[in-house]
Amino acid sequence: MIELRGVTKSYRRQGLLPAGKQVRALDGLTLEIETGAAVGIVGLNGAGKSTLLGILLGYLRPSSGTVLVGGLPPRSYAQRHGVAYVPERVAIPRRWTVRSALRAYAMLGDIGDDTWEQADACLDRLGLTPLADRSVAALSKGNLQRLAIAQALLGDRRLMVLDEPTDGLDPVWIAELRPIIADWLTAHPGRTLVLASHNLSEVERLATRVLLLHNGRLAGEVTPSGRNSLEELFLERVAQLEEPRA
Amino acid sequence: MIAIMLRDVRWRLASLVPIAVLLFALEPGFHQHEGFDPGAVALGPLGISAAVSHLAALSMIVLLGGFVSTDRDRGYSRLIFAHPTSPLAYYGTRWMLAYLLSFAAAVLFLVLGQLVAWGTVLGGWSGLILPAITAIVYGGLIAFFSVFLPRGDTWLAFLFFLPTFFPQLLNLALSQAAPTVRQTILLVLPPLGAFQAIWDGLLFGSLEWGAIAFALLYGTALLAAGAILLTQREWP
Repeated sequence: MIELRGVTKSYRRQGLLPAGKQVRALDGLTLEIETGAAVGIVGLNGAGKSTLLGILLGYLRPSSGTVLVGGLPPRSYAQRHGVAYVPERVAIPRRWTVRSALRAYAMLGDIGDDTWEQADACLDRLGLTPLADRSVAALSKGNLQRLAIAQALLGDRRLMVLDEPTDGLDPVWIAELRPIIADWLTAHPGRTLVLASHNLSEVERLATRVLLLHNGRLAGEVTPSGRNSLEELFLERVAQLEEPRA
Repeated sequence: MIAIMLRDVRWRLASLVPIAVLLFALEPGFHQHEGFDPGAVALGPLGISAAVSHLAALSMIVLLGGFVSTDRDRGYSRLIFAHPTSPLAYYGTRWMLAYLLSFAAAVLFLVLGQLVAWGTVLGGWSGLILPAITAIVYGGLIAFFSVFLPRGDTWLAFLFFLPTFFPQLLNLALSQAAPTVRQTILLVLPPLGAFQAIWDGLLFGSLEWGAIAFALLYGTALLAAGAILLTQREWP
């Protein structure tokens, strides 16, 4: 489903760094994610998780290397098939209401004759029906996050990309989110999930394979195997990686 | 989607009303009286096509201001383009909708202006070619600025519009400039000379094809540059 070969992404940073100095967010990343997988991406702040997801969606272009999603360049894939996506920082036009936002995304999604019914069903699934006529500007962070998750469920997508999906959600909705994602994933055998999060317990619950990114490089798998939790594996591996630096 | 896009611009559309009222008040052709401004009387309904074109230009700036830059700046584009749509199709639709609305506003202004001022509609339909071209020129300008700049595109487009409305300001500003500087600035700014030639041609009952082609080239070149830039941009 997803294939990255030697992907490097450099940013030219301004501000505190000297002008023109480049920061490597991803450094020669090679990775394959097979169709039907549920893959978690974990790492410290600045490890390159969000950059990787931005590249998978085609929002960012690699400085070098190749990326294919479903056999296509990422932007072409997203334009043709769409991606069920929840960004880390959810931004929805404030002038929209909850219902009009979802209907707008549904119409963009080109999801067939039952566009509005699907939008209303997604509203209902995320418990947003009572807030349907409320302005997006008046939503709490948690409700805005639920709206972002609702729009990700629109249409028959094959790839779901979640960046910190539990951010801002209360414990009840964090628990509710698990079956929603599990149902989405199992509804079709060709669906693939890529989830980046610092919430390791959620990653452990949702992902069948967990990859550790460190300084823009793939630092191995930390998939829990029964004896150790993801948190234990993560802390142990990160300590090993950070050791030479100390 | 068109319904949602229309709903999004409803306040901007409403803001065109005071702009139209102001342009109506400033257009001498609408205020013809016996013995007052005989030149304006002589020009008839075609004479007001300049004011109508100003409304079309301002409509494009008002309706499209920030239409790409705001989405990028505030991060709205991230969710929009996760769905199967291309930035070119999405913003192209918004641009086309704004163009149709601007032209509709120009037609309405032409008709209502005459009705209010003269109590009857005397025509001047061929004069609509001027707002049709002006809207492409300013639509191209705002589209390019909105793709190219992170913010401030609306104000810059207004700044570029000022010489169209107050050409004497430009003349004053360029009076001391070196010839090369003057030529460069005139090349970058919207084609005021072409607008003037088209308007003059209309008054004499002819179409100045050279001027029309030049103005259209200016607008479509900016639109094409904006479109190419749009496909090359990252969406951070």
